[in-house]
Amino acid sequence: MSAPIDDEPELARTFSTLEPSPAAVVRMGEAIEGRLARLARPLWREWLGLFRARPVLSPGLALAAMAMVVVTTPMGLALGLGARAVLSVSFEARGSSREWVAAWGMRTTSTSTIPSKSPAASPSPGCRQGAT
Amino acid sequence: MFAIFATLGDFGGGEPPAAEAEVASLVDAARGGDSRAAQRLYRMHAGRVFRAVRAWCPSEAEAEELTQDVFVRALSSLDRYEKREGARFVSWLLAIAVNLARQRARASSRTRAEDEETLERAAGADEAPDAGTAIDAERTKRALLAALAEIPERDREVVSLRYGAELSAAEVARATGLSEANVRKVCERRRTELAERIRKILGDTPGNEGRRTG
Repeated sequence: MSAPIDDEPELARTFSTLEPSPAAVVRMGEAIEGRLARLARPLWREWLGLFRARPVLSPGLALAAMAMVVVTTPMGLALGLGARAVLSVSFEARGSSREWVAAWGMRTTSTSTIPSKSPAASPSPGCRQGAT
Repeated sequence: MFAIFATLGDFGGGEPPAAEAEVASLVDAARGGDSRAAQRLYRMHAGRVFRAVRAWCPSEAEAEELTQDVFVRALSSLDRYEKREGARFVSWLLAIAVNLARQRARASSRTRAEDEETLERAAGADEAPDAGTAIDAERTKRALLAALAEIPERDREVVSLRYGAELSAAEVARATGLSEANVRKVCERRRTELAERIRKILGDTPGNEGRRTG
């Protein structure tokens, strides 16, 4: 009943009995796609991949890709919040914008004691007509 | 890129080996993020990989798990694959399989007792005297696995890569780290030995050796 299996083709045919069933192939395929989908690439690997790209033909494209990664990832949000914090600190140091404008206006008013030569001359900001 | 795979559930179904040029173009496409190309690569090579790794695993479930590991590793690191002259994509896949299987074997708690249990199961599998094709195949499969379990691990790797995955001697040598001459010697030696063991397990009599079935 059984064929001789000591020659290569016959042994290969014997190994063909180890073929997975169609259901097993589908099952494995679904498991593989699930695992690949869950494969999380940390951001540092994305950055590393950009630098490891061989060859880097366009530095401009590489920089654009890096900017894209920054903008579209939590890093971009962190940078934005950080920049906002820095700017708000600098505004507080200068005072509020309204106070700043008012201070600038008082300064220009105090320096405009010399009457302007031409009545039609447009007054400087903060300068009152009655001040001269 | 890998999130795209989740949206296309089309893995499955074995396919015959295709020309290496087609495989190369699929690899390039998959490397660029084409999930359908990755799926096709899987379908084309799943059978070969499974046939090879099944001989190294004590059960179908473990063989399926190992096959999954191979493809996850391969498809997630396609950027590391370099096409070499005379080396096929499938040989790279099987090299990954060999490494993963060796890692598992080191961590595995498989004992000689389990091998003997496999042999006993093979011997006791033939219940029906008038076996259909499927039962014949199952008996042969169990006999083959039992016979393979009795040969050393490295020789088992060589034989299953050569006859299960249908790699050339050169490809087997590259995957296992052996020389090509050594691979041929192992195949020559183990081929006859496996034949004898399988016949013994299946209970062939000397008079049946020359009989061939269709």
